[in-house]
Amino acid sequence: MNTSVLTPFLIVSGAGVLALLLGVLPARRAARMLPTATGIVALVAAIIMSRVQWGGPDETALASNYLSDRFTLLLDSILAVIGIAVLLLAWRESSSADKRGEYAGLILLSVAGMMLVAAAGTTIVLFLGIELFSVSLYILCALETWRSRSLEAGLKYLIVGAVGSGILVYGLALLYGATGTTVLSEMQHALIDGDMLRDPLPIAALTMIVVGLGFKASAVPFHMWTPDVYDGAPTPITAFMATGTKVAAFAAFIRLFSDSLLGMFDDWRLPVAILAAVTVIIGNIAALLQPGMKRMLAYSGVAQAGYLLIGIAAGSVAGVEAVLYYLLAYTAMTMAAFAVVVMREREVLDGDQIGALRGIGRSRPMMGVVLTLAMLSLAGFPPLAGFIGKFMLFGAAVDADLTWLAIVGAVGSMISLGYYLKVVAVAWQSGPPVDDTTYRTPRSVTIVAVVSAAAIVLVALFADPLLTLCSDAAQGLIGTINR
Amino acid sequence: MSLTTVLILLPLVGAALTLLVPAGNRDGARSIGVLIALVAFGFNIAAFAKFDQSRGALQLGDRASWISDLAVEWNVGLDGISIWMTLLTTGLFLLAFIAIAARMPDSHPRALIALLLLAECGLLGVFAAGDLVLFYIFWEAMLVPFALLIWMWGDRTRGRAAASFVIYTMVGSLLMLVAILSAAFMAKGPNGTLTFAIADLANHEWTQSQSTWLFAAFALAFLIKLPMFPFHGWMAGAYSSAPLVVTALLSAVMSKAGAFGLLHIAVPLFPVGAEQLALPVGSLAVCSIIYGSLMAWRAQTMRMLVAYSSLAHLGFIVLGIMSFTSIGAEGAVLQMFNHGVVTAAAFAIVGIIARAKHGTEEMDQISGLAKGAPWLAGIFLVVTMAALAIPGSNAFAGEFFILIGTFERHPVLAVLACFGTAYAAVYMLRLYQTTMNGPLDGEPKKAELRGLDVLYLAPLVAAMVVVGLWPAAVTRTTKASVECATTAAGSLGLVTAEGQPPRTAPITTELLGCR
Amino acid sequence: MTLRDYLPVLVFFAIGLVVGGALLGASFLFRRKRRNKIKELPYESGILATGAVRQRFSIDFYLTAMLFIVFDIELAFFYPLAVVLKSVGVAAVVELTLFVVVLGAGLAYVWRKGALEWR
Repeated sequence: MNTSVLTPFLIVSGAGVLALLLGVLPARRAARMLPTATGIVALVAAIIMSRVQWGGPDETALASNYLSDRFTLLLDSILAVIGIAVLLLAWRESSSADKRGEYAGLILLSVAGMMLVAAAGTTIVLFLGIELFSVSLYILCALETWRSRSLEAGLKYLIVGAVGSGILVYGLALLYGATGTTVLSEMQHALIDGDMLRDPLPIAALTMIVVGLGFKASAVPFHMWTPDVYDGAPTPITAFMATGTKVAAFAAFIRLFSDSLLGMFDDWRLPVAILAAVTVIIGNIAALLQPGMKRMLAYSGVAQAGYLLIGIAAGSVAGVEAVLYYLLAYTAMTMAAFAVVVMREREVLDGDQIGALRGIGRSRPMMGVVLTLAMLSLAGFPPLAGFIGKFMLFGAAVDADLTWLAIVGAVGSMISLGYYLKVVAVAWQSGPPVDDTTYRTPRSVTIVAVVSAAAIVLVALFADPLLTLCSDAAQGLIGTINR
Repeated sequence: MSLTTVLILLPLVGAALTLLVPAGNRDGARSIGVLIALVAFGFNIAAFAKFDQSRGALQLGDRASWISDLAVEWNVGLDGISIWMTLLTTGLFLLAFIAIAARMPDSHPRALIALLLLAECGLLGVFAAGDLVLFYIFWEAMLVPFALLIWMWGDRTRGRAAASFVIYTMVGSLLMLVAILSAAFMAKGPNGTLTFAIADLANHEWTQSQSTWLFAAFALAFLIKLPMFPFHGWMAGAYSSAPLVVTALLSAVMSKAGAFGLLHIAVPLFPVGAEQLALPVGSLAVCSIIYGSLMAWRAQTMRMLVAYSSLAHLGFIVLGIMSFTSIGAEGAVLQMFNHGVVTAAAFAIVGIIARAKHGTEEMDQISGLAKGAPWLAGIFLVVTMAALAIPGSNAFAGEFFILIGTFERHPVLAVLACFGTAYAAVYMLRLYQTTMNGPLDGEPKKAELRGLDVLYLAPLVAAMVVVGLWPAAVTRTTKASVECATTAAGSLGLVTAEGQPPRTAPITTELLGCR
Repeated sequence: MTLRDYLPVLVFFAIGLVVGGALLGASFLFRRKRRNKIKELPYESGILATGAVRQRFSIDFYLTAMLFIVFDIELAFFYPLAVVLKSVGVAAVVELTLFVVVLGAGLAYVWRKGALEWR
């Protein structure tokens, strides 16, 4: 046991508590920035720590509850970057005036929970992580207490999230019943030794876990909460949910399905593939009909979850690698899109409508370019990150004899052109400007937007180093994927 | 860095340079456009001078690992077919930049130049790609600038036009993406190495059903891009809505990307599938010829007349490719070049006439221009003769080769296609006669050529005359590559014709220096 | 353990259902049915209920109750630790101290936010 591997998690969760306390200090001028500053410093420290540990051997801590392999370290860095971006987006958010501590503290605790999911070595820690980030997000959604939509979002997310968690924990309990262990890396042996691979009990467990994680990843048909919650929550938090939750949910998917339960591949492969296909198609069709940017991005997030599930359904190292790369790409694209929405919301009334983006390419060319890059990449146009990611996902599917799933993914991408290109078209449309050009975008939002947009391009053009990281992480999974 | 890499990346650098120009600075933007296009054309000529005509493989290229984990490579180079296609691209883009520089639009001059340069980069990449993924990337990369060109500078219906253009093309190309992946992973097998290089994949032997399905997926993408009947739904909107220069580029250059893909990728990679689907695709080509001719005959505007005539000519090109004979395919390549030159000239003349008539392109409102503009009428007559493939014109050699090649394999299709040449005379002469002859109305002299018009029409007419008198100028370069592309598919058909079971293995093409 | 091993649990549930159902059903079937107004009151022999049941409580009740539970759980951790402290050793003390520190931070937060004041 080596407790030092816990440092990224400990730093972030400790900073979360600290930020909460700093938030209730008497609000002097300098103190106002403290919670956010603490958060950013802690997240940067977490990135550095996970980078430092990268080369080292895989470790377990706390009696194999906490795994520190390359998968964990890679996801820790991604999650920390997401946390920094969200903190920057929320900087000077109107609601953060009297809730600085809550904003920063809960975001940090949430990131810590997501990191715990990525590092989970047992089902208990997995569930603990999921609950930690979910509960923090319930509160974050409802943080704009004067806005009934925000409260509604929080309540809806709480109820649906609790249902999802309930089903998930039931599934995990059944899995424990079937295997007699909570340790993920021992499940494979337990299933084989107990001759349980064809038994109904683990299959029931599997079903419930898929459903429970489906709620968290907003896969169809467990996605009903997504548009309402994304729409109602404060926009930086929506960005956080869209990226962070997705990363965490797929970390759980990979830990459970691609790694420890790979022995039951034949049982879960087809259901997950069908789930992916339905999610891609329904998500994309529903997104076509949305007038609001946040709702559109919500459904687009649903569809993207479907693409990611394709990689899970492939059940191979290449599939996991593709999922990891696509999570990175997806994070950059979504963050860029939401940064533009955050900016627009502050300068225009009803700024979260697609119509409010009219002429943004003229009045703010930089934001127009960012938005265009994000949309084209989400739609999968080469040579952007979204294309490389989809290319890998479809390739993994074809390699795993799931060519039909790749075709469904391609059809989904065709449908998605309808709404992504509409946004691009609106952004460069001429006509009277809808915004007050005297407003100056806060530098923090601009930084997030530009850095994300640059990432969309660079991650694709210089994909090799990043793919090495992803493939290291995928191959380093402790369990059984490398049979 | 090889000549080809420089050639592809040069327009990209140019597009980046336009960002340095202050917004609204029209002089800066247009000089960047013309300059970069000129340099690119110069590089292309240099590449042509260094080109080894006896070899069929890619040359003057680079091959370097790009995304090694996915086996995607920066693999570019030119063969006998692509050298002429790149020459067509750089040449016509140069003329287009000159034409645009003469009449710069008021809105977004920077963006116009940048998008045109990006489109040029995409097209050059398509023609020079030696790797399927790279090909796909450039294929898609040229779609966005063209769609935006239609969308930002088109007329009233531009929104619909751009949308249907994008959706039609993407439907084809996304299926092509799946086909690319399937092909590479099928060729890889359980333990092989993954590769997307076209030259390597051509060595793989597919089963008949694999080959047929993969060919169908690729061919769909290419036929949509051309376009070919019945996938031409986007054409009328996009061609009529886009600014005339863009329409000319769409028709003269971008459509060649589809024909090039068919000849360069679909047929050599999947000879068995190509042989299986030769008759259906060939029949569609004949339908295109007849449909395009009839539509051109009834077209209301000059622009749509040229557009539909181009649909018919593209039918000829596909017919030549699908004959799998080297003479037919050589005729197709020759015709690809000819069609680019002739269509560009035709659209340029339409533009000159429309300028004189205050933007009117309706045929029934224009007549008698020859009286005041003899030079225009003269050049127009040359272009008309070329378009209807009168013996001695450049298009005659191409169509003749195509018909000979097709006659060897599918005599019925060849006979039907001959109707197309007859129709061409009808609609092209209608275009010439209604606009040039007949009673004159309006100012007589206004339509005459001006200095700049001569600058971009003269090279086109010169090219027409040279190729008309000496078609071997093109065919001697393309011969080796065309044989590489069609031998495999061609040999299959001949074996079946003699009553023997079709071979599943393409005959070896290594003797011709194809690899 | 296979699903079959859980059969006793199923049997247990079944017996529970059958016995309970049988008892209730028997009393429903064989009881004497004699109704009158007094018998159907909510509290047969108690004080008559007045007013609506759905009264509104001050949110402070919930707040206080929740805080109570949070700090009550602390005790639930302390007691077992005290019992086994010798065998577990110093690591457990460190961990519990961490827990208390976090809880203390929570208390400080709640205090500053004014949740302990009755409004």
